[in-house]
Amino acid sequence: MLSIKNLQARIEEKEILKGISLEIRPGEVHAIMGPNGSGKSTLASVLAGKDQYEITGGEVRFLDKDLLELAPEERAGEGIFLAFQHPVEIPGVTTTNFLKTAMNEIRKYRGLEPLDAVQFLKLLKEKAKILQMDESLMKRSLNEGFSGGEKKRNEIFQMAMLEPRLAVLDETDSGLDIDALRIVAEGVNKLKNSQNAFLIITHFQRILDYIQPDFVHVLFDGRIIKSGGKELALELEEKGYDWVKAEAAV
Amino acid sequence: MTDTDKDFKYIFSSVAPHTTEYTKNARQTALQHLEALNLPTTKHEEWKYTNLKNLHKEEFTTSFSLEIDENTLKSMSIDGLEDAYKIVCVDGVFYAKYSNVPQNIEILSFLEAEKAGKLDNLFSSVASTENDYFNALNATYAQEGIYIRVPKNTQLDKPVVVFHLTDNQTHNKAVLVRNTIVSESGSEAKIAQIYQTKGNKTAFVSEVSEIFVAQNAFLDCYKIQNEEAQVYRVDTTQVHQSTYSRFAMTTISLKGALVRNNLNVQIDGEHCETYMNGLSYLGEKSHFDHHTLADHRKPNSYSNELYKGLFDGNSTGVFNGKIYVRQDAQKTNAYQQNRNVLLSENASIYTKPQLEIWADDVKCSHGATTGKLDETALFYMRARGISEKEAKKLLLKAFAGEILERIQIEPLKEYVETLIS
Repeated sequence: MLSIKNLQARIEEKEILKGISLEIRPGEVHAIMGPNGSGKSTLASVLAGKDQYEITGGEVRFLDKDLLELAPEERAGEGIFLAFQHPVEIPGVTTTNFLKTAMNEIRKYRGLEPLDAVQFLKLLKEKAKILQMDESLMKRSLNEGFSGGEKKRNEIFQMAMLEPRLAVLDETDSGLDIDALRIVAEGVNKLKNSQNAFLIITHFQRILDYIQPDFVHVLFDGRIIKSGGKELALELEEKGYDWVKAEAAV
Repeated sequence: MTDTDKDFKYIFSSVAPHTTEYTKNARQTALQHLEALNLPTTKHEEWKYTNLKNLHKEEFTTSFSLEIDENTLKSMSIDGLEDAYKIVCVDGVFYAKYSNVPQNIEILSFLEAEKAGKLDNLFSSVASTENDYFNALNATYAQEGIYIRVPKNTQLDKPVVVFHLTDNQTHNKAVLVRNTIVSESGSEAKIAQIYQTKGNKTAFVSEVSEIFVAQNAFLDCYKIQNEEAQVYRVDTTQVHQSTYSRFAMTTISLKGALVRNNLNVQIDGEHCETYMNGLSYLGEKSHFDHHTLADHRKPNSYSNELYKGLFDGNSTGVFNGKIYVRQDAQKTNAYQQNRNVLLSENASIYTKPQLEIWADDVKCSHGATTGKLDETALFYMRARGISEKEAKKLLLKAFAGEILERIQIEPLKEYVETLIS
């Protein structure tokens, strides 16, 4: 589904990704862990198409398309979703209006008819229930005045609405209390199926108690220095990153 | 005196105003002031960013249109406001036969009102001619415009919509329009003025409105400035507010070659509320200059001003907003905000918020911001599948929405939404 080969990227003159390779197949959950500054969020941004980053080498293919050639909205149309680490507040645009526009733009991209108001609201209610979203939030400006937890939950709610093929969760767990984390994780688990895939970027093992990853990768200094199964996450939690760094240096 | 000054002063001199003793004196005073004044240049502090030099290149005449054709009449309509009270003015001339005037308020042409003595003690009483070239010019020669009086304790059930058409189909023309609005005590009314053009010759319009909001009166006003690119307009709205009155003016500026708006409110009573809202959404070479003044003269009043601007193409905006709190005006609450977004590299905005406070127990704030469309928000929206074009549209609508929400006449709000989308 997603195939990253030797991806290198920089921002201004600073090299951040120094050759990342990663294969994700449908039905898989991958976790990327790593200390601050290792390039985790850069990877997420590059996948979503943020243009501040310059791609200096490598390739990314998604469902047989050259992802790096596509505009951010085209990537979303193809089925990529990024849950932002810092969701943006947009005063004057309600969550409902925003989501309706997004859904219908994606449908247009895929050659589908737009959803009418009734269909859309039905879906909205259904998904809001899964994430225990207060429906009054939907009528408010997008993320404006939302707490950190509400913003993160709103990201996953949007994901539930848009049903992406590949969802990248950029530190969705940070800033969430345990109850909110559980709700978010349950939401992800309900959406998971054999056709879609998840890439979970996190500092902490905690979220992986609720969302079982098939693979765990350690990102350090712009490279994946170790990959393993879910037990790797537990090991990192216990021993920190130093041993992996040491192992990689050998 | 330069040649160009000569043009404007003498172009109207053939006009012989009909006057009462009061207006005759007022006009004579205005003429004396006019003779001492020159057309302002950019050397004048209040005209620093608004250059009138292009006006000099044009020849203007003062003849009016005498008829309106069917199609033009039809264009003077707003969906959902078909049954509102309607006033039609072409080049300032009030056409009673095309208007639908409410029974319980008084609407006259300027000339009728002047002859009947309705303007005595009002005309030129708040719009000072002493140091203002255009006020002086207008007070000296203006013959057209409307007079609206909302009698004591009258609550208007429907808004009054005034369509002002500038007819510049056949020749360049210069027009002076004089309006007087009297909201008597305890009255409530909503008045929307829609400015449109027909034709593509050049027009110069000087419009002066004197508005009197008596004790306990509520007056909610709107101006939709949507004249084609050949119109030069200097518009002065001078408001006088008495105790416990509420006045709101929302100015939507969309089209025009060069428009100068002076909105000055004398808050001359206690417990008044004053709202000044503005939205400019400009493109091409439009130049709009908003000068506003909230003049707090008495204690315990509240004023709130929010002007927002979106500038595209080669357009220019000027915002010069002043809050003036006199020594007597203790416990004043006055707020002012000016927020601008530049949508093109060639657009510009000059903003100057001013506070002048002589009382010591007041709450005042002001601020101005200018930026581009929020790039982070754009990316966020695009990452959700929304095309760049659609995302920009949503952001612009959201930006404008804050002002549109303040429009208390729903069909008018929808009308403006259509104009800007």
